[in-house]
This record gives sequence, C-alpha cells and structure tokens, in this order.
Amino acid sequence: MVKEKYTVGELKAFKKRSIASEVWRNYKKSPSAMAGLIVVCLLILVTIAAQVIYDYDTDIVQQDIMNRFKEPSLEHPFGTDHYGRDVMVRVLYGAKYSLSVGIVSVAISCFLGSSLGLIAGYYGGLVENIILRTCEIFMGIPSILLGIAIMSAFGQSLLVLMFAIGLVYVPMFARTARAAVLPVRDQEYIEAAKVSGVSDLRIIFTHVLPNAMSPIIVQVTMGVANGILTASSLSFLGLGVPVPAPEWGAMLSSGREYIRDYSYLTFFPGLAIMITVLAFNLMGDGLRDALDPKLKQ
Amino acid sequence: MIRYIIKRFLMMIPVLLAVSFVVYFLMDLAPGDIVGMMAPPDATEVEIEMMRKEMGLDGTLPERYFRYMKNLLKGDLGMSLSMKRPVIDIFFERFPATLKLAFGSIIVAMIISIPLGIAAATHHRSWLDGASMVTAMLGLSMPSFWLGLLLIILFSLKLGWLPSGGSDGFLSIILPAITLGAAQAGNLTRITRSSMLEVIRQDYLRTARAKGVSEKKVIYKHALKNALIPIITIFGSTLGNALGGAVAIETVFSWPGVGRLTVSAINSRDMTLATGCIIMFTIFFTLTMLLVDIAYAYVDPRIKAQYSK
Amino acid sequence: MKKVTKFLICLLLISLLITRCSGGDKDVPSDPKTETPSGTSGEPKYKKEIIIAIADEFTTIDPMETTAESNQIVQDCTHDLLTDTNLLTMQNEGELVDSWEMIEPDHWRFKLKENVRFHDGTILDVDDVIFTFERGKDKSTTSAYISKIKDFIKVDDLTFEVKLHNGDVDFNYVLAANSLAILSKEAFETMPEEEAVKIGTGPWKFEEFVPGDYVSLVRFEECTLYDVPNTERLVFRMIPEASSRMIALENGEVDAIMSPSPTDYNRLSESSNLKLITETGRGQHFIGFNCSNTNSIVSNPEFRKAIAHAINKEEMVIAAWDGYAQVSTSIMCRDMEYYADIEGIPYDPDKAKEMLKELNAEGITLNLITSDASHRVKMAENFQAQMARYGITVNVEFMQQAALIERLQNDKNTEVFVLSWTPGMNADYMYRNPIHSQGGRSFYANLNNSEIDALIDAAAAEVDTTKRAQMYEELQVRLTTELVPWVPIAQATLTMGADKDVTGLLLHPGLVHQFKTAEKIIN
Repeated sequence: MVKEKYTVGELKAFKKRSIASEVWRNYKKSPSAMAGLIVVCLLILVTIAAQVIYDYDTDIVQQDIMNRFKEPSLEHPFGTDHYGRDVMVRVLYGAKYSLSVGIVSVAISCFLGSSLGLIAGYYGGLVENIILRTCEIFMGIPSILLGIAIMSAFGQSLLVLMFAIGLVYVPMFARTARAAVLPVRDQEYIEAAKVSGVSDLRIIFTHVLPNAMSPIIVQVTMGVANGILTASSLSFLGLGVPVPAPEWGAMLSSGREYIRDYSYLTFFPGLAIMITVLAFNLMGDGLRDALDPKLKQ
Repeated sequence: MIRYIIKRFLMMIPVLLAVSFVVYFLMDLAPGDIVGMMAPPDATEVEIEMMRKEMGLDGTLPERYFRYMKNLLKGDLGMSLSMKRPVIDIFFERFPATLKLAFGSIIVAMIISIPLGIAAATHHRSWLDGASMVTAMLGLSMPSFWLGLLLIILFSLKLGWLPSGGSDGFLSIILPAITLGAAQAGNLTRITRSSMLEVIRQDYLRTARAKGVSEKKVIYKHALKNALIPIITIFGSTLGNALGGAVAIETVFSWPGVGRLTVSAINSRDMTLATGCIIMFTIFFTLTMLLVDIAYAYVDPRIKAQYSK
Repeated sequence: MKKVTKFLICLLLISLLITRCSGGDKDVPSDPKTETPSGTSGEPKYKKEIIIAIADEFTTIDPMETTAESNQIVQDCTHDLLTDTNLLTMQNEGELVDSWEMIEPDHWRFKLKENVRFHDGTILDVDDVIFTFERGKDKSTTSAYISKIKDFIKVDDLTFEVKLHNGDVDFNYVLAANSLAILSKEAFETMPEEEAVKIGTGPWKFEEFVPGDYVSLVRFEECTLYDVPNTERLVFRMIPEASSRMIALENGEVDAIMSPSPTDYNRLSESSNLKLITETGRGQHFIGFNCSNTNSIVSNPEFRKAIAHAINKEEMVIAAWDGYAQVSTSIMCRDMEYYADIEGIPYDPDKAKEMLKELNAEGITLNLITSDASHRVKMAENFQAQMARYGITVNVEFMQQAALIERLQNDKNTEVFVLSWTPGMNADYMYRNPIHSQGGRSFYANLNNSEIDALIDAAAAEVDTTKRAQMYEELQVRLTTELVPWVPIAQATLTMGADKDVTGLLLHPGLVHQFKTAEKIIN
C-alpha cells in the first residue's frame, strides 16, 4: 500500500535514506573502493586488538638487548630491532598513532577549515577576502616546513603533532568548502530564507552545508591519508611522538641507521604506512565517484 | 593582462610580510636559545648579554620583529646567527641544488605520467587503465622517504649501480629525482588521464573521427595538445610539492639543498636563517604560481579574454 | 595549440639548462683513481690529495668565530696555538711556545719558538700574540680566557710575561683553547679581515671553501714550524649521513671518514683495504639528577644511589653505542690528570630493589629530558626499559640541544636528564662548570654543596701535586658514591674509518681530531 501524503519530515528522511543508499550502491560497484574500505576496517580492528593483546609496559617499553637484530622468523615474523624488541608487535601497536593522528588532525582541519570556508562563501565581501588571503599565506609555506616550525614552537607530543598537521591543512578545507558554497550563494531560495528571517546559522546548516558535503567528505578521506603521510614525514625528521611510542615514521627513522645490514627494520613500518595511506586514498576515490556519478568517466 | 600581473606582484608583498610574521613568531616561541648554545660553557651572564646584542636578539618580541621587518622591506634578510653570513648568500648557495632536484623530479614525473595517463585514457576501462591507476595511487600513497630508502637498498647497496647520496655528478641525482618524481607522477597521471578523457569526448574529435582521420592521429594531433593545458596549470603546484617534498628527500640522500638547510636552521634555532629560507621558499612558490597563470593565459585564449575584462 | 608543445619544450630546455649549469659550476675534487702519483722513482710515492669526509658542516676558518669541532678540525691544520695537547703522549706541550715558566701561580713567562713563518711570509713574534689577544677581548669565544689576564708584558720579540688576576697553576692549558690560535698582525694590517684570518702558521694553507660541500687546503711549502707535508692537497668534504660517508670510503671517493656508524665498525675492521681507528673519548655520558628539586624524590641522595645500583651500564652501552664505549665507574673521565681508578657504585639489582622499597619508591613516575642526539635517545629509551623492571615509569621528553639547555637552566621542576660533559685535560675543568655552584652556567645537577665547592677551589689552588691528587680522589669518591649528582654511564669510543694505507690521522679525545700529517704511500 502506498501512502498518498507524506509529511515534510518523512519526505526529508526518505530523501536522505535514498541518497545514502544510492551512494552506497555506487560505492559498492568499485572493487578498489571496497578494498580500501575493507582494509580501513581491518586496520581499526587490528588497532583495537593490539591495545587489548599487548601491554605497553612489557611489550613496547621493555627491551631485550640479548636478542637484538634477529632476522624475520616464525618467532618474530618482522624480526627484532636494535633493542631486541619485536618489530611486528610494534608495527601493530603503532597503528594507533598513525590512525589517531590522521583522524584527529583531519577533524581539526575539517572543522576549522569548513567553518571558515562556509563563512567566507556565505558572507562574501571583506570577510571572504580576509579568509582567502589568510589561507593564501599559509598555503605559500610548504606544509612540511610549517609543520616543523609548529612542532618546534610547541614541543613534541602526540597532541601537538595532531594540532600541527590539522592547522597545515585548514586552508585546503576552507577553499573546498567555499568553492562548494559559491554556486548556491545567490540562489533564490537562500534569498527567500533570509527575507523570511531565518538565522544565518540555520541557513548555513540547512541549505548551504548540504551542498558542500560531498566535496568535504572526499577531502576528509584524502585528508586522513595526507595527514598520516605528513605525520610520518615529521616523525622521520625527528619531530614526532616521544619515545618509545612505536610511531611508524619514527620506527623508519631509527631503523635507517641499520639499513645496510638489517633492511627489514625500515621495510615493515614503511609498508604499513603505505597500506594505510593507500586504503584511505582508495576510499576517498571511491567516495568521490559515488557521491558525484557525473564525474565518473 | 599587464595590470593583472602588476596587481599580483603587489599582492605578494602583504602575503610575504604575513608569512614573515607567522614564521618569526613561531620561531620565537620555540624553546631554546641559540646564544646559550653557542656561548662557551664558562661564559658569564654579562658575556651572554653581550652576544645577544651582537646578534641583534635583544629587546622584546615586537621590537625585534619590527627591526627584522624594516630590514626585510629593504630586501635585507639579515645575517645567519649560526654561520655569521648573510642569509641571502647562504640560501642562494644551496638553492640551485634544490631547484635541480625539483626540476629533475618533474621531468621524471612527466616521463612516467604523461604516457601512462594517455594509455589509461585511450584504453578506458581496460586492464591497462586499471593498472596505471593503481600505479598512480601507489605513487601517491608511498611515503617518499621510504621509497628513497628502498631505492638506496636496491640500487646502491645490493646492485652498487648508483651512489646513495651526495651531489657530485649526474648519477647522484637519479635516485633522489626518481624518489621525488614518483609522488608527483601519481597526481600527474590522474590529471593527464581525466583531462585526456574529457577532450576525447569533445565534438570536434568526433568530427575528426567521422571525417576518417586515423585514431592515432586524432589522439596525438588533436587531443593531446588540448589535454596538456590542465597539466600546465598543475605545474606550479607540482613544483611547490616538489620543493616541499625535497625537505625529507634531501635528508635521505644528503642532498645539499635548502630543504635540509631550513630544517637544520630550525633545529639549531637560527631564527634569521630559518625565517629567511621560508620567506624565500614562499617568494619562489608564489612567483611560480604567477608564471603558470601567465603561461596558462598564453596558451588558452579563453582565459586571456577573461583577464582583459 | 602549437603553443602548448612549445611551452613544454621550453620548460624541458630550461630545466635541463639548470641541471647542467649548477652541475658544471662546481669544482668537485678530482677522482683519485685518475691521479698520477707524485715524486720521482726510488722515493716513496705519495697520493697527491687526501679527502676526509666530515659529518658536520664547516662554516668558517676564523678560529674566534665558533667553537664547533667541525671548524676547529680544519683550523687545527692551518693555525697553531701557543700550547696544545700532544695526541701521542696526551701531554700539554708548547706548540708556538718554546718553553714556559711559572714564576708564581699568577705570573707566567713564555718564550716563543724562533723563525716560525706565517702563510703570508712574515715571522711570528710577540706582537702577533698581543694582536690576537687584543682581537679576542670582545669575542664571545675567547673573552673568558683573555679576561684572566691582568697584565701582558712584552720582554723582547720572542718573550712575554703575563700576570693573572687570580693564581692558576694550569694556565698553560688555557692557552690550548682552539679559539686562541695565533693570527698574523701584519696580515690584518695589509689584507681585509676575511682574508687575514686565513693566515696561520700551520703546515696547510687555506685554498677554497664551497659551503655545504667541501673546504680544501694546500700544503705550505715554506713552512718552518713543521715538515712540509707529503700530501699536496687536503680536502674536507661534508657528508652528513654516516651511511653515505661509509659508501664513499668503500668506493674510494674519500680516504678517511669521521664518526662512522657503529653498524659499520665490523665492516671497517674486517675489510682488507680499510681500517677502524679508535680512541676512548673524554666525553662522560651520564644520567643526571636535579638535586635541588625538593618536590621530587631525586633530591634524596639515597634514591640516587639506588638508581645507580639499578642501572646495568653494560646493557646501556650495547643499546646506545653497540658496545663501543667504556663503562665508567667514576664521575671523572679516564684520561684526565688525577683520575683515580675507583670502584664506584656497582650494578646490583637486588640491592637496588631493596633500597627502592625502603624509600617507598616503587611505582613512581620520573620525568626525563634529553636532546634528540641518537645516543642520548637510545640511553633514555634503555633507561626507561631498565627502570620499568623496578616498577618505575620514566616519561621521556626529547628536544633539540638548544631547547634542552634552556630547560635545564630555567625549569626548576626538572627531575632527570641525560647529558654528557667533555672537559679539557686538567682536572679542575671536570668539576668547575658542572658541579661547583659558582662554576658557570652548566651546573644543571644543582648540587649546591659548599663542602664540595671548597674542595674544588682548594684543589685548583694547591701547588703540591701529592696533596692535589688526594683532593681530587676525595672529590671523585664523594661525588660518585655519596652525593651522586650523576650516574656516570660510559665514555664513548671515538672512531674514524680510513683507507688502510692512510697514516697520520690522530683522534682527539675532545673531538678536534688532527690531520696535519695525513698521507698515503702509493705502491
């Protein structure tokens, strides 16, 4: 039986559901996107499992000097490092750092960037100019150098790392959001809403934001990938999470000294970074195609 | 057009001043004192104060910054605190190496990505398309310093074909350029592919095909030229990425460029050198963007028309 | 649309041009393989050029500009000091000074060597010394030394006397400071300053400096102070990465490398054409405590003793230096004057556990700060792991050296730190700066013990060597086993890698290695 009349709320819910399911239907079609999604899910599972299975004090902090530099074997699938610590345990446990840095930093830049972008796009004029010019300033500085400068200004810790990377990518989100708002800014229904006295905040949330949603979602997934890469670069340059946290970039950096004789020390953490970044990139790609089928060619 | 260029040039000035402020402020905030580090361990407070004055580090932050900015407006980036030489000299001694690496990497990126992108677009939805997209994605996802280390293991340590670092001779640029180029190639391949795909579907190509022009000729004579336009536009950002990426790569390959210089300046709290290097980086980056815009207008009449409005 | 292609071609050409230009304008030291050996047949043939790969950047030839070892290594080849440590005997000897006499602890007479020629052809006399000291008065690297002098008296062209503000029986050591290298007065009168500072009396003359790349020296043919070197050209090339230096040595691109990576030690010593040169360094690496932080348990000497018992130094030496370091039992460095071979506090985990239990220190958390230098990070990480075995959690914070020094100076809440101290040869140097409460800026342990201060002062002023030796032994024992401001861990081994046939490379415990007579006989 088909209902003849729907309330506005029901219609909205219906529309939302159908958009979500359509996106999902599109997303499912791409095997690479699905692969990305599965890997990301696995990574999250591994991260949680590693926190449960391994104990920080005994498995991460503790060293076993007598068993240093053991080549990969059944006992130590990824070998042991220069302190005799199991590299596999460290890589698995370390997923936590990369993932959390990637996700939190993107949350920071997404929140700040999108807000600025929406404000710029919605209000236009002087506000827009100021925000855009500020973004330009920060985009002019190579992101890694800006990251280093922030890290050395505020000291090395997980929080500062997240904050530094988050800040570096704010302009990108601002630009994306603003670009998405521009086409709807002068639409009549927005004018109408304004005239009928709806608050700016409400207009932004109900009419403007939905338009900016899909590019922002894509930017978020890609941003996580970029954030993880930048974080590992910073750790590699020695500005990251304090020891003995098994952050992948830091593991690479400390293994580099032994690259000639024990190259597996650099191989596995690097592989872990690559797989994680690849998974998020594939997801981002898939989402982009799914959200905007027109773009897919 | 000229007016537009002049306007862009003028707009660079406030941007650069703001960059100098941001960087100077961050560096000032950083704990650690170069004077304390450079003074001999038995120096007294008075001697340290003397050194501070000698280095122009006395006074409050606004005073110091104001002094710095005044000189900056005169085009003077000051003296490096640790090397006691003009920042501008030190920068330009190292800059050619970074530029060489950046251009080298772009050449590598173009050699890889343009054929790959074209192949992917012309064989749309075939295995070739999939393979080249996966390759591009791998290039994008690989931490470049890791790729650099892997290449060193393979080509320097195992095979012994190429030097693992340094900057003498042509051979030593190969590995760093490939490393840095790989990351750029990922992006460039994707853009080549999509811009090629767009062009291929244009009406005038359909017409050409209908007229019986061979498919090869259609692709290489008509499509490629138009498809290359967007590639030029991302040239600027590619160069910017290359310069930024050079920071880690220069460390991996002991390449004597400005990226490494800047990192060590930040680490040793050499404020003037660090700020100066970042400002110069920014100037170069902004100039490239401007040049690219001009070049873009030059190759695409539609854009030129827009500017002259 | 031809324009696009043109643009791309232009771009390619420009980039090729840049690559070519910047590749070509560099004068890379020529390939050793293509060189013809010098000398006539019958005499030993020497390699014309010796290339040494250094790790840190060389920045200036001016001895008064910085105290960085990377500069002093090169300056040591071109400039000379009044007195210097003989690296073969480890004694302080005259370099430009022929003889000296301590008339009183605050009144010294020096006689310069005769006919010492500067690179500009002039002969060394007392005026050059006066000029150098005058120049050094307001330089931050030298003013502390010069300010010790009350009066400088020129007796004749080669003899001078100095009167000091305070008696110093070790004043000859002060003149061995590298920043006090003697410069030519005439050179400064006839040349611009940046040229004049290059003029020294050493066997090598400054030739060329390409920043970030290399600095080259040529032999001083008219040298009178030393024999003219057999090598014609000495090049110091900057290669920051240890692995790159090693590969360059293996490929024959360089003849010697500074500080090879510990992982390459075996490769060097086992290779048929390379060698590993080693020497125990004078840097004391230690875990230090902020003794005056009364909010923390580290202010309790019993706790510091317990930690000293708890640390397995052998393990830490493997973790931090791959075993290439000598475990320290005393706070004092081994090769210094008045070092006494004391037992110190031995590793005793059971005793440590017992002591920690008594102190109620199980399960506590300590905060440790250190710099990001590789061996310090490794020491800190190993300390963290070792302490975890006693139920002590150690939070490690690492930062750049500059930031570390600032934190140590200003942060009253500092608890534990990892640092090293590389003193000069004389015993007073060991204690004055880091331990004496009025000693300078580096008393990070904040011991503030008036008895110890008095002992340090008394020992420095004592003329009788037997009494002095007793005082320094007392200092060692009390500091190492009773007060424990530091737990001394080890003195790292200094190393250099070189081609087997290269001779004349001398390691300096204070890191200013000597290359004055570097040469290689070619068969």
